[in-house]
Amino acid sequence: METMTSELVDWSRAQFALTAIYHFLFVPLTLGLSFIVAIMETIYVKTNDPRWKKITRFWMTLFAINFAIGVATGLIMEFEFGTNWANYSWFVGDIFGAPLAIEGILAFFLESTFFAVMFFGWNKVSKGFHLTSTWLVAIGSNLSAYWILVANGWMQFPVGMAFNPETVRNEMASFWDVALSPIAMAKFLHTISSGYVIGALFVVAISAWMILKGRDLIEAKRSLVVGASFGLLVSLFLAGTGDESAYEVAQHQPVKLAAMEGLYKGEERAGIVAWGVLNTEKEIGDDKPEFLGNFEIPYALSFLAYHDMNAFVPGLDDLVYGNEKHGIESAASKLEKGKIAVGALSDYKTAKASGDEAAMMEAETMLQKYMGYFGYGYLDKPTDIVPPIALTFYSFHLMVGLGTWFIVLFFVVLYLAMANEIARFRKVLWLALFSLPLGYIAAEAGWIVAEVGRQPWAIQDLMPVHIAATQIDAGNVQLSFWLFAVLFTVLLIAEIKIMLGQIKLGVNGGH
Amino acid sequence: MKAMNTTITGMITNVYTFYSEGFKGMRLGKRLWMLIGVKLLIMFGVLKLFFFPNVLSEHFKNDAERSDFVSEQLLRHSGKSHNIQGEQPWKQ
Repeated sequence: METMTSELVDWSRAQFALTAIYHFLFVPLTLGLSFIVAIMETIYVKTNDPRWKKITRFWMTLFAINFAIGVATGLIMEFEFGTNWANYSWFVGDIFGAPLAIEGILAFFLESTFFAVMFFGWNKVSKGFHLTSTWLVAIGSNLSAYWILVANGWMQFPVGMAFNPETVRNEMASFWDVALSPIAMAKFLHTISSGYVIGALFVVAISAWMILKGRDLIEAKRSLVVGASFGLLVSLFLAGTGDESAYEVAQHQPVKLAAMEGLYKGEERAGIVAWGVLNTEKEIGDDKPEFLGNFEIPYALSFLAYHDMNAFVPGLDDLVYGNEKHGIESAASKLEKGKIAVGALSDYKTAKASGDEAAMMEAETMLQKYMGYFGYGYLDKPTDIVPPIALTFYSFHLMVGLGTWFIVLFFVVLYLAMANEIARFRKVLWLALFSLPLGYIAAEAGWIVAEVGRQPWAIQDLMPVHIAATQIDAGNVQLSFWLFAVLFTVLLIAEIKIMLGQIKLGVNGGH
Repeated sequence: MKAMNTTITGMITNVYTFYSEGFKGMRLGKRLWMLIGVKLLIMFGVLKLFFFPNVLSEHFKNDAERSDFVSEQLLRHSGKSHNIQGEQPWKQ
């Protein structure tokens, strides 16, 4: 029997990770900066102060550079679905297609139409119409993100579909269940708010640099106030959406939550690890300590996961080996049920080939009964359900630590800017400048938690990654991986170069 | 009717002028458009064309064949394939 090589799966996975990570360098700034520009233009329209017009146009130009470089980079992932992930693409059926189609139409009509008014419309359309266009670009960009995250949310928690054994596809049973899935909503709010924080960090960092260099001081200080106010609000909102996101993960992806926290043995009144160094020799099921050193906040994990300080939070050992007391099914039992589901699909196909309708119905009934475990039928052993623990744990803690830092930074910068003292605190300005890359690191770490933390699944419980991949030549995937690496790196360098050139021109640079 | 035609023609002219003047007035925008053009050319003219065929669309004539193929793949991975000798058509 021909089997999928792990080399091919790893390269296909690496290629998707590379393109997603690069794509996500451009997306959050578009999401965040679009709203900040809209806020600045609103102030201009309200005050009629020409300085606010200059400020708006300056940031709008930087928004345009990021938009132009980043536009269509996400399409590459769609190419990859058709080539590297054909089994997956077919299996997800119209569930994935519908949100992506809506996203494409929205992005094209809303963003491209009003984008033109935003840039060509100064002094040609009324102030009110121009402002409306700027807001619609911001809303349109965020709505596009919503549909992408609905698709991603479905992969994390598949709902609103029915599997058709005839076509081997999932068919949409309820559009609203898919569109309003709790995981998708939590994911959407958390992702866009991380974009807003990056937008705010960008404005604060560039404004700080302008103040440090003594350039366009009035405009820089005003931008700093807008950036830091927006940043403080959205970074607090980000913490709230993170809490909601973790709650949803606890309900639907408990293995991911256990990996995020390095929790092996489940416990009641579980504490959250604020800081910790994982013991690399620790294995599932053994009695070695989980950490070489750590600091916990008592009760916090139980509260975060179940909104109950006394709740039991299952650890990896419970989820792999089961815990009868707490009603947790073992992975071995799920593997058995998964094999029954896959066997039922096979029986269905055999019965269909021989025209035995009674056997087809029997197989279909069995398949529907165990369909929720279908993906487990492809796993070899119970521990296969565990994602890479160290990468998930450290990425999660890095993201949370940086998120906390951003709240402090925005608060301090806003306080000093409002007191008109910011120019004297040069170290704070330098900290603000160097915090910009930290925003991107935090956002990418968040994606790693979401995507690495749900391994081995391409679609939670239904399809593991190695089944989702197409059996193609690994050499081709490697070659295109490096082509992407070069293309995206060139784009990133171009963005930074053009952006820096425009920033140096200052608020009178024009576009 | 004539007045309506004149209004529509006027609107189209206004939109055309809006865009053409906008594009002519661009400075940085011209560089960005060129960059977008080159990027799309590489993406669709090279990467999509030579490296990213849609496997199921290109190698199978209809949805029935596609579902048979994916079904075969799913069962093969579980060791329950009805045709385990079957090769991928793009490898022949």
